[in-house]
Amino acid sequence: MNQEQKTRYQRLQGFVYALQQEVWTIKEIDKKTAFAEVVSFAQNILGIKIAPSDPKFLIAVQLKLNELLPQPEEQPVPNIPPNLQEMVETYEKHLQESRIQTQKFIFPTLDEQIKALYQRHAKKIYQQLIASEEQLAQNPTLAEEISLNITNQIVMTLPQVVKEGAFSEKEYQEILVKVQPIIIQELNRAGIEKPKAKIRTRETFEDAKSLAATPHAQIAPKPPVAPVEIPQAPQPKISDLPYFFKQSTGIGVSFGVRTQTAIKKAALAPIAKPLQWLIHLAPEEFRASHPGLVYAATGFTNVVAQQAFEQTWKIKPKSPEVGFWHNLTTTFQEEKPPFLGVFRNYYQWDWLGKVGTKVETFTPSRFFTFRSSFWRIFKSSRIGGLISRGAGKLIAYLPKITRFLGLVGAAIAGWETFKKAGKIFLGYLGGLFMIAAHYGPLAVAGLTGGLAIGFPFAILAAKAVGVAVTGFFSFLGPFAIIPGVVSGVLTFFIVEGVFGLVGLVGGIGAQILIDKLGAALSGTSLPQIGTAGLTQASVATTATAGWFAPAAVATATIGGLIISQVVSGAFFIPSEEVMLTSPYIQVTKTVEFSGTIGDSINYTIQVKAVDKDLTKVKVVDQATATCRGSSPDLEEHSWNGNISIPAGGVWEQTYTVTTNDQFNDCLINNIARVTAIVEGKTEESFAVGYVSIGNPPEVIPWGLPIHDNPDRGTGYTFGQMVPCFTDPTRLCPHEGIDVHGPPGTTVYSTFPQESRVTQVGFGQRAGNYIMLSSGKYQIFMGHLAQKPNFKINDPVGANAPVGIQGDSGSAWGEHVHYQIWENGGIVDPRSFGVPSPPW
Amino acid sequence: MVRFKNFFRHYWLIIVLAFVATIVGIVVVLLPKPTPISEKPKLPALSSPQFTKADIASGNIFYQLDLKETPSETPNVLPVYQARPKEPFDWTKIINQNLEGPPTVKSATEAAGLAKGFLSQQKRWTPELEAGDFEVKFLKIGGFEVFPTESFEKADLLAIHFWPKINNYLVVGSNPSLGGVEVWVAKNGKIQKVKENLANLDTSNPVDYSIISFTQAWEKITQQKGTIVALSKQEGEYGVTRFQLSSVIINKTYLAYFQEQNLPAKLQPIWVFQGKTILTSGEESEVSICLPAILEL
Repeated sequence: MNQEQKTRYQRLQGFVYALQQEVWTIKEIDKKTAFAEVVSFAQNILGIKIAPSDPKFLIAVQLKLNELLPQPEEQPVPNIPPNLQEMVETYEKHLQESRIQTQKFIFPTLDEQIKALYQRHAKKIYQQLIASEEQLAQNPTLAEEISLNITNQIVMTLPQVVKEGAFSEKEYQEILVKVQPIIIQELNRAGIEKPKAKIRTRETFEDAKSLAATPHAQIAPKPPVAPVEIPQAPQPKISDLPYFFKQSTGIGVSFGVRTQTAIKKAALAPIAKPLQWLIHLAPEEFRASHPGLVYAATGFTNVVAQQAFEQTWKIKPKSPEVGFWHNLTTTFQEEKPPFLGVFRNYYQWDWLGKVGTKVETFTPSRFFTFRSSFWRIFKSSRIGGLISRGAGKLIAYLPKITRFLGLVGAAIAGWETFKKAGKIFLGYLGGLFMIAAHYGPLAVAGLTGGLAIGFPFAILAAKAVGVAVTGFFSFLGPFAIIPGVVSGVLTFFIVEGVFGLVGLVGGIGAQILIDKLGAALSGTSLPQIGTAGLTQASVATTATAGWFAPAAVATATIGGLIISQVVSGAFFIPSEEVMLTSPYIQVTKTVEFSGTIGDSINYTIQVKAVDKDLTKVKVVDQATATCRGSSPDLEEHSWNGNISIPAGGVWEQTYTVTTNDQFNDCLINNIARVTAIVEGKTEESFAVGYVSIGNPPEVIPWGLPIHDNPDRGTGYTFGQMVPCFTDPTRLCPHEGIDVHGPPGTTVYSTFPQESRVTQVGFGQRAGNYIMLSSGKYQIFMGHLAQKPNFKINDPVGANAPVGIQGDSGSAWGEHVHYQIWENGGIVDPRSFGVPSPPW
Repeated sequence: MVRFKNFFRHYWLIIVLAFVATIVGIVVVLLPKPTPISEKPKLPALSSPQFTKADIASGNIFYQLDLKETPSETPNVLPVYQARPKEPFDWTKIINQNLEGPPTVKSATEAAGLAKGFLSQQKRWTPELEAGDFEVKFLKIGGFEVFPTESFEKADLLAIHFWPKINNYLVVGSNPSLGGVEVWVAKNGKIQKVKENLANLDTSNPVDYSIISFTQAWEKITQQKGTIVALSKQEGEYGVTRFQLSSVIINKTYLAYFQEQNLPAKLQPIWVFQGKTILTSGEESEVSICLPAILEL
């Protein structure tokens, strides 16, 4: 490495380090330019593939640079200076000054920042040591020395074990394995023979990452090894401090983590919710007395709040409860405090308006103002004032009232749950009203009819039963009339009820019949009807989920009644079968065939249990043949023998189908469905396979999308070089063919079987377009006159019309731009029944 | 009688207070939200605008800001309007695509004047268009298609995009780089095509809503809350091609009114962020990102 390279690497190292800090410390270059330089260097020179937005990016660059730059030579181990305590105090003072400088926007140097980071790390360990070891709590100097020793050794250890871009939680655990002996060793050296201190190094994960990413040479002072005065230790008392994890959420997080998080959230709710409630009660008091909690609850990454919080706890006396808050202090220093996940659901938006509102400016949202006003008025009342003052006292005596918090928390949690549940309930209620609106008229008619018809029968039956029971209880004398009357009345209601029920069912059945008839008469396919129906239901449901539920329900009911009767069948439909692929069942289907009729098709089905045991595995393989001529009947193969597959295991079966002349020009699709019990729940996966024999035209797009005198005219054919649309200075191949017919001619699907809509919309070049899919093929038709009246996933019939030829988008004159895609790639449409010439 | 100083020593009282507070809370929550600032909203509650999304592969995008002009100060509130369908107009009856004749149009501005005159003549020129902006794009004909070209000299056609303005804010559709009305003028001075991409405005029942500031909007964008509505690279393609974006540099941002394609639609304020992105294929593409500007959305 030459000097120039070295200088550049060191410059970039400085940038990378500075970019990881909250404030930009380099004056000669702005942050954005520096970042751009780092990104360019990382991608082009270092070949780092991690996205720049990924937090791991800078760490990866840092580690790579560390590798490239020569490591400094080992230095002799210095002895611990006799004036260590004094040095630490000077150091702290210096740090304090640095912090003040930060606030004044006079940024500390890189060295100062590294030292501050190092000191903070040591301080955390120190805090944990004194919190967990009574012996050390009584000897802060000793604790501090030990913590410094531990920190130094960790700093020395970490960069050597961290691998590039893989600083995962799992790896961190491995690091901890290396760190723990250091802690034990240091405590042993201090005379604590059986250390019970549980250093919760997990809290220092973020800091450990920063430390690891910091240039090794700059951060690693040699561990001071010194003989330590060993006081006689009393039996150590360990407080088991509560500890909170970051709440991971989001789709990207694995199922296991989400489950774990959900459990943690549930466990934290009794603590988190009371805090929320208390802050609601007296926000100003809370801000003044416990800014850190406001910080914790709202996720503010605010230096002022953080420092104020730390300051608050410095002057607080130590008590058993302080351990909890100490623990929180350390955790708050992370950018996203642990309560964030718990409060995110309701708190940030409902109360403070939006994420990121700063504590010191405290910009109130309207909702906040509204609630504040409410509380102000509430507090000005006698009872409100009483509660408010009480709340103040509660806050002041917070540690003493923790036992009440669960109760209050339950109340507030109930409140929020009620809110959410109410919305959901009203939504469902709306849906029910819609159903009632649709089925109601005939259902009521049926019910009334049933009751009317059933009435005389019910009377007769009641009379008969009454007489019989009275006779049976004749030994009771005149009192026999009582069971007689009771049984008679009951009989009446039962018989009447049965008739009513039959009528009701008949009414609903009639409506279903009308629906189906309507569907048949309107000529629309069932899913299309369904889409329309679902839209209506959705509109009504959304409307009813609002605050004015009764009005919305009434509107939805009346609207639904009118719409459903007018549209007839276009309402509710049976939902389509949704096939889910289980993450625990991996199904692989292999099809082998020589292509010669008379040979066998060999099918192999492989089921792999991913991560979990599979029990009661059932495999069903169904095949369908689509042929030019008559299709052969294909057997269904199933294995239903209580198969069990252990986690990681594979089950495999093969079978063969012998082909004959019937298989000529066929496409044989088959689908293997696998259901299994995974940890008590039924999971399902599937795999599909197909084999194409000869030329099965029914399954590929064929011909042109215009039937009425299709012509090429001056249109482009496939592969013709034309100006690139986005860069007219270059030429690009024309990926499709242009075809036109008479003005306003209809455009048809070229699939000779049903297909599905995969894309529909408008593009600057394509204009109004539609894309249909069937099997491995997709067809695209652009420049249509209007946006096709389809939605994604709508079925389109065989060779069905899909639109009108137009000149939308970049068309010059009416025509259709027609493309065929096979397995996701564009293919030449001229191989698919397009007349040649002219195309 | 409970003495004041013993107030909080009684468990039952705490329970009662918690219960009372819960009930009060429920009442407070169930009160109607004071969403619109105007006294009586004439429009139903707003929903998030249905942007047409560009087809991009999922994943976080790194956004950077490199504005050429500082965004002007955002008003606290802006009215929301209703869009009403335009009366249908059959342009094919009066337009005949005819490129014959000597060139008479000398400049892009002249072509824009012709387009405006034509729309006025057909009574399709509105006060909103008059208040709005326009841009002339140069097109070259090839086959059944037109392609963008660099200069007036090379162009066969001039596409004049007119964006209507309301309250001094542009009205845009799903692709903000397409004008609400687009007129193609040939160099022979004849109108070749008119595309009306947006519906008319109905300014009779405005309702005021609070608007988020540029800073707030940018924060949301960086939190991946914006919708990528148009990628020039994708707009220039047929079929579906999925693009992957890693970072976007925003160099233009403005507050605009968005009008959905399907009517009835509301005209609601949005923030538009436009800039450039490098696709994973290495190609550069222009990108437009939209974000609802209404505070509650």
